[in-house]
Amino acid sequence: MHGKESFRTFSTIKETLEFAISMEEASYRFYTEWAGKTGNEVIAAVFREFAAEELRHKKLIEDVRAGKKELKARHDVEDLKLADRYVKPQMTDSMSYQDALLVAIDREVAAIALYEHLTAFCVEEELCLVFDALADEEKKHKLKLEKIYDDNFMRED
Amino acid sequence: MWKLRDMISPFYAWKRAFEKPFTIRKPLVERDGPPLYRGFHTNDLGKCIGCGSCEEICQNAAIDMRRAEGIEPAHGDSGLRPAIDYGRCCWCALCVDICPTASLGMSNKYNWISDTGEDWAFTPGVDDGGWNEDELGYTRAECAWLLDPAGQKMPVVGADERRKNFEEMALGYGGDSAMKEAVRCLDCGLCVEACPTHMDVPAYIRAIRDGDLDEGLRLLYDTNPFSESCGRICTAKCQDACALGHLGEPIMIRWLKRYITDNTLDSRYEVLGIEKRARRTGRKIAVVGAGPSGLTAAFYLARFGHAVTVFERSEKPGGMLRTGIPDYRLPADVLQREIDVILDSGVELRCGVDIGKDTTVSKLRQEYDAVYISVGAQEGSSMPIEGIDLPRVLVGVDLLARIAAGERPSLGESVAVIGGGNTAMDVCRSAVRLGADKVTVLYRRTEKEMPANAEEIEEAREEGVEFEFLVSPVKITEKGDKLDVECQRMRLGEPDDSGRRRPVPIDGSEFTVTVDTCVMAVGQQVEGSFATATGVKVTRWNTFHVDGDTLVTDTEGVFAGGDCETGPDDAIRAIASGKKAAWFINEYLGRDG
Repeated sequence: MHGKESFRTFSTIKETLEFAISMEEASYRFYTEWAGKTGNEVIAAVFREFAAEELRHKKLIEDVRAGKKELKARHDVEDLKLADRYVKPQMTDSMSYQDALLVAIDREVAAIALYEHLTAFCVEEELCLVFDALADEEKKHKLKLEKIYDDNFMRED
Repeated sequence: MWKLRDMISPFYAWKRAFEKPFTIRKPLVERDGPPLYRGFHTNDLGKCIGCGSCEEICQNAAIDMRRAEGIEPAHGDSGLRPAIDYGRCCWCALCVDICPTASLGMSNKYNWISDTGEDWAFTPGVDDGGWNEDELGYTRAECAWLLDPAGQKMPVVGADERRKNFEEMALGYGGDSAMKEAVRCLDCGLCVEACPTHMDVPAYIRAIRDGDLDEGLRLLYDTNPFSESCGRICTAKCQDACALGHLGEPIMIRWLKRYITDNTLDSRYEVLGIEKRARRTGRKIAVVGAGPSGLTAAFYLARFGHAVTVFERSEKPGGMLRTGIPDYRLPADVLQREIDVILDSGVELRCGVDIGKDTTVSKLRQEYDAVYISVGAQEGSSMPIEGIDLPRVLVGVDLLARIAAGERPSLGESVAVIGGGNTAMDVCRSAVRLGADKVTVLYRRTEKEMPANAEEIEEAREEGVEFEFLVSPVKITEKGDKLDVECQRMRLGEPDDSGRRRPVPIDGSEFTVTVDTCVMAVGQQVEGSFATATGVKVTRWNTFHVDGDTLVTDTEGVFAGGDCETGPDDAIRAIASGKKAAWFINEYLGRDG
């Protein structure tokens, strides 16, 4: 993900959540762009699915910003750590479903790293809790993708 | 001679006509039966599998298998439960003594009064007579079981001997063993549902009992033209469903199938009426891929009277049966003679034709009335870790194909095999036969989760293969002429919503295994380039998108089945797909057959 974003500072929860929303929007644009680039309609549909998932994440954060929902980290999300040992595939216009999943997992890893970084350097406790909760949300998204990968491409492994 | 008593007796009887009768609704004093009394039946519904053995053995036809509310048919369970007519039951307890799951018993209750005649037939365990939970009564003692829980062992070559070569290890049943095994069968038929191609198992086992192996062979070929191969390597889902397997060993159905084919070799063509017949329908069908699914479809389409041409990219037919299963499990000559039967029934085979290069699916569709795609899933799956492309890191299915082609590559002294499926078992056991001293299987989960057959795992152990569970490779590097396989230990996480416990890496648990060769056997997939080049709609897994009922694709007249439709699976499912495809292609062509 965008490393330079980690140097930003945040002073309010609203600002933090708006940043998180912009991150989800960036991911949405990334997948939508690749859905258009790939020559394979089936994989384009996969990218559109990923993009739709990012919109769901965005909606969740918007609901938090509007006070309709509350985010709280539970710190009990399993981490299968697939991205730690798997080589990240290159984005190409002919990539497979397996590679597309790995790319999506990798993007979630980057998002988790960013929020954890922001948590570590955050001074206001209230803001720290929000970053922590956002990292937790991204971990859930990553686990969901890892399970799909595990079920589909690691059945005999 | 008339007596006075005879004259007045009728009047004497009338004397009590207006008195209260002595008939009573219940005995004045209720008495329990003795502790082991054989009273009304009980049935543990959790154990009962609806096999109907009780109904079969009942000498009074007092038992009727019926649907019971809330109990659905499932793998190895007919969903039926015994209803007992106490107007017929003689309490002999034969039903209890034969029950293969010991679900059926008898309470010590013998006294039951009802105003409704229909109550005389009820379903124990479902209809509550008040004694379902009764602890007293009759339950079968071990010595009273009418069934033999022990199966006949298959004679095999000893582990030390079989490590040295690729000769077939299972030697086949003799007549005595086959008969002893056949008479254990209860004839319940749960296996028929469990078999993907629904082989009539009870019928061909009955043929063995009757000594009519020709009839047995005919029955085998009604549903499976690869019975000889399946008699050796089938995953035998029928045996998983066998009623006898609950408290004993299941019937060795696979070995009995092999017994029939082993002993009808000379009469096979005559019994099956195999001959090149005139194609009476005038319809032409192209089959792409000469694996188990394609050749099965070809066999039954030819039986329907159609002209079938099978196109195969390799030089020899058989698909994964030939290239993926080593000779010690399925000898190539056994497979070849079985394929010969299919070809000799009038199927044309063209090997060395690469669909996508030499011709295309759309061209075939123009030339033929229907096309069946059955190219399998023959490409080894990748594990995208660092070092996967090193020269001594091999792909399991590719290695097995080289061995099947007659190569005997040297893998060195130590070999690591990654994966826990049947391919991993074939690879590790082949590595032993290729001379490796130390072969270690590294599997990311526990033995319980291994997709490989338990029998294969056991045989691999006998041959000296070692297993490391809850271990996953993370990186492979070259170290001189050796490979360092860096691994990480795993633990199983908490069960998720689906109930699965997934492997989670343990931080700081890294260790290195140094080997000569590392073989990745983590699964197979459909060749993506082939699938997309056909122009037929595919899924994100590159499997063909079909109507599940008819196997028809989105392209008119083009069907697809087997591993290229389901994803990698076993031979019997591919065979079942081939049979199904033949049926629906024939329907599509107007049932000319």
